[in-house]
Amino acid sequence: MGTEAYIYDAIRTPRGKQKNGSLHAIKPIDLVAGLLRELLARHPTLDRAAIDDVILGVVSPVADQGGDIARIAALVAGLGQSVPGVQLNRFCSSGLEAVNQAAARVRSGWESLIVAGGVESMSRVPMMSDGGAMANDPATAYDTYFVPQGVSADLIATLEGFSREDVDAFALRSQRRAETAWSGGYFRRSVIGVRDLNGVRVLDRDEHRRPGTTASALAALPPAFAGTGAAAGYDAVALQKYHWVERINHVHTAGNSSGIVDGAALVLVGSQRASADLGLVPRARIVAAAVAGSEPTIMLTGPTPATRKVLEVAGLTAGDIDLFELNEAFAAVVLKWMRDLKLPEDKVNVNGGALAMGHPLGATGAMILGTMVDELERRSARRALVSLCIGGGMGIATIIERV
Amino acid sequence: MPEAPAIRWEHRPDGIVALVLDEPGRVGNTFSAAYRACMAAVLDRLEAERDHITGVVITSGKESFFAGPDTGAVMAADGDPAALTTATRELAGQLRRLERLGRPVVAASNGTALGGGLAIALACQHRIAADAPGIGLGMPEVRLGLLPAAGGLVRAVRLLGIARALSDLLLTGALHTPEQALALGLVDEVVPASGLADHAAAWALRHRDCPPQPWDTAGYQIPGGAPYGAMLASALPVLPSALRANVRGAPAPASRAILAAAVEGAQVDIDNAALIEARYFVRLASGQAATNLTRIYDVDLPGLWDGSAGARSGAVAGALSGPGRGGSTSPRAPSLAWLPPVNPVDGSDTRGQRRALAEPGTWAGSFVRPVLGAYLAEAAAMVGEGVEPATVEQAAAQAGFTWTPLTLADEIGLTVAAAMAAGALPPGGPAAGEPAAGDGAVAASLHGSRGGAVMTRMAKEFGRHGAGSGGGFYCYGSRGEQDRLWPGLREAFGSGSVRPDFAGVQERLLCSAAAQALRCLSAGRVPSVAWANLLSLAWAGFPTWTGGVIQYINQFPGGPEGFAVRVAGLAL
Ligand SMILES: CC(C)(COP(=O)(O)OP(=O)(O)OC[C@H]1O[C@@H](n2cnc3c(N)ncnc32)[C@H](O)[C@@H]1OP(=O)(O)O)[C@@H](O)C(=O)NCCC(=O)NCCS
Repeated sequence: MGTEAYIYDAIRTPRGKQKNGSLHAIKPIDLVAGLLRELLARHPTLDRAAIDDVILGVVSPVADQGGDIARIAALVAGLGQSVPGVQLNRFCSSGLEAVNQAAARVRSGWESLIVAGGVESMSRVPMMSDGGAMANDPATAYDTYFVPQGVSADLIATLEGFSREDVDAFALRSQRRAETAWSGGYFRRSVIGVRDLNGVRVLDRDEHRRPGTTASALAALPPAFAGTGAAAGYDAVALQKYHWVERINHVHTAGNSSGIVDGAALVLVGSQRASADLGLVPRARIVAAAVAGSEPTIMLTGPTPATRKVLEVAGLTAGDIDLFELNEAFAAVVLKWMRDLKLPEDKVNVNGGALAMGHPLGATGAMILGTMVDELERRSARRALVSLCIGGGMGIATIIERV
Repeated sequence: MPEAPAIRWEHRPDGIVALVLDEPGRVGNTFSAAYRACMAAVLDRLEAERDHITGVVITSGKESFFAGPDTGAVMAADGDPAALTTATRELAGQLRRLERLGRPVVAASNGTALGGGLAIALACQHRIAADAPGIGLGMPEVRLGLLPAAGGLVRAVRLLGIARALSDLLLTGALHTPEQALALGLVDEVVPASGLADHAAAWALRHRDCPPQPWDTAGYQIPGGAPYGAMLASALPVLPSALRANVRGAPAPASRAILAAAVEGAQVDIDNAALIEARYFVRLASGQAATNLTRIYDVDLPGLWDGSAGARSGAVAGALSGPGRGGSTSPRAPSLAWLPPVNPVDGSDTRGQRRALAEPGTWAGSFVRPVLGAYLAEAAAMVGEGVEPATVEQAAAQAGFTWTPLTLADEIGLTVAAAMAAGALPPGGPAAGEPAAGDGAVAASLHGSRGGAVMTRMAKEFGRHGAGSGGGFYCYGSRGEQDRLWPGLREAFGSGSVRPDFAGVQERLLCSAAAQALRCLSAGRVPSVAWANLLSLAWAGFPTWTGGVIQYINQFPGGPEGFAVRVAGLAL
């Protein structure tokens, strides 16, 4: 029988925006190395040689963030040559996938301390730059009815009957809750400002946010995916599969879609023994984790089956969960999840999400997990469930419990 | 060299070898078994006598340069992918040997060059086309459900780049005049027909050093870039979606394979690209759709296909003696004059032409009208049952019908469409030779009557008469353009209250038209199986991949008997 897996810490960079963003001039490896050094600084008793592995999610693992950035970042950060590293990719869930794999390995008893997380510099390495058969191999894309995720999100809204007002209202809510969280200092413990090579401060806050957003400003934004949906034939492809739908209602805009940002996040995962041996204090226990597959053209409906699965694995019901966090890839994704699982609005994404703060693909899963660790502590609540929708039609979910 | 060679060898005193493509007993040259054997011998000899050869000119002894693939061979080869792969690879390998002979090879295209003709020409260092009216150059294989093999697709991509090769040549199957081919870069020169051979020989003599093909030159890059190059990477995902949108989800195995072979081949060297091309070709050639399509073209009718002179042979007589010819002996050509020049490949037409389909009182109308009537009635019946109208339209489009039924019913007008439905022959049909039933005839079948009733109700109860009169199943904009489905349908018919299996909806549409066509055939309203197939494709808009309405029945699971059982089960 294995041991439990605990979260000893969870930290992240602020998220830099894409256009004229502060993190564009910071290499992804430095985003990770900065966080690794911070982990060591925060935990003076942590023997770096005790770290069994570094697992990092990167969704476009090419160019600046290619070539197993985990191992190289460990070297750059001075973890020493004994600390290995591995990069993984489960699209948008990669950061949480890294944590889940770390937890599973710790629970296996083979390893006792793993740094898990992710990084994505979307301003440097644009989405899809790693190619892949899903979108770029014609026979594959043709046979699987591939459409880009924005069109999928609009299809969800169409099928669920979410209006433009519905999704905009959710976006406004995200901005307001993010503002409350930032001004209340809710992220203080986990957001580690990025500094340049001379130690000069570069960015301390999530930069994509627009705290002054109004309903009318959101309503004025043009649909982001109507043009390509029509011109590239993506709408037609989606409707060929969803044949009972007459047309797609393109409700998603730059305001109610996740922001394209740069950032990194790390979670320190270990066994109980790690705390005994290294003097670390556990903050939360990883209760259960699950992934699920779903229909790939609509792509973003996987969180519902993944959530059901993780609850079943944990032997819990939604009623046992105090906080729910689903990555705000697009507003309709979260609205559908809430409807499917009848989740109360005041427990979902309580501190805002990617609509306000951005979604740095490979890092996001670890970021929002950390947000939940902080928030469980702030509220003295017990359990949180974290989920993300995933390209190719998948979902991921993890349940954590404050200790 | 074989007795009566498909390729004649003429060695000129200046060292130029003229290879004259001229297969005995054929109207045009093709990639036949005789060609293949002869080409092998020619290459052996070229390589053996190379020291005495200054250059090679390839021309044709026929009126055309080269007619394209040997569709007969394709049809004969179905079922044995290994043998077809070997044969296809051999064709490509021969042309690869030719272009690396080390002597300048010039294509002197005296006439129309299709498919294989261009494949040969693209393997030459220099291409000259004769300038004469009616000459077409292109790769129409896609229209036969095939792709240009023998390295034709691969070289087109390497010459023009992926994007232009696909759009200007491979996916459209468009034929170009010599001038257009010159502008496109397919040929290097266009000269008067009279001086063609000498011009070609002169070029070869001036290029004894034999420039290598661009793709055999160090540093060569595909124009516009390779798939993962900066220019193309972002456009890559759009290619399959645009294709799907373009064919409206109808089966398009050839277009899909062309797209795949073009992109996949561009990731590797030319020889491996040819291997990929051959595999996709074999996949298509072994499939039923290509067999059906080549069969249609074999029973060609003049004016049926869009104008490409010389592209297709055969005439009415050919159609009447075509494969699967029915018992009818009527040599009488139907009156086609009023029928719209619909191109069944891309379905292009105008609304006025679609309305013309409803014209009664013509010979072809007595077949096309009831077939369309049964199809429209079945679609309307499903709307009446509570099937989502969008599903009915999608099912028809994705089955490959030229016109989706609710759109077509609107164009024709719902009262006329209802009358067409009522005029369809009932099960059992009238005896052969009985005159066509009038518009007021007893309802054809269960669904026919229900479908007719739906259309009548639309017109009478809701005042929705069709596209021309303010709206029918659809709403229309101020300029008459189709907008969305009429929202009132939901309430009137409970749209979405039933969710039938999508394939089942498609089958009902296909079977309704096919059953009606069969009844018309037995009633002598169409002179032969071949005519029924052709008319169903060209003017009833029956899906091209089927090879025609009777061919669809023959290929139905369980054959015609299986079809009859299904039709009875569907109460059509
Ligand atoms: C939707 C999307 C295409 C928009 O991209 P973009 O146009 O670069 O977005 P921007 O953030 O620059 O916003 C565009 C404009 O919208 C306006 N805007 C955006 N959010 C706004 C808000 N909350 N309030 C008011 N205006 C807003 C701004 O005026 C901005 O213009 P600006 O540059 O003048 O400031 C892009 O964000 C996207 O693709 N998101 C999804 C990412 C994704 O798919 N992730 C994976 C999930 S599976």
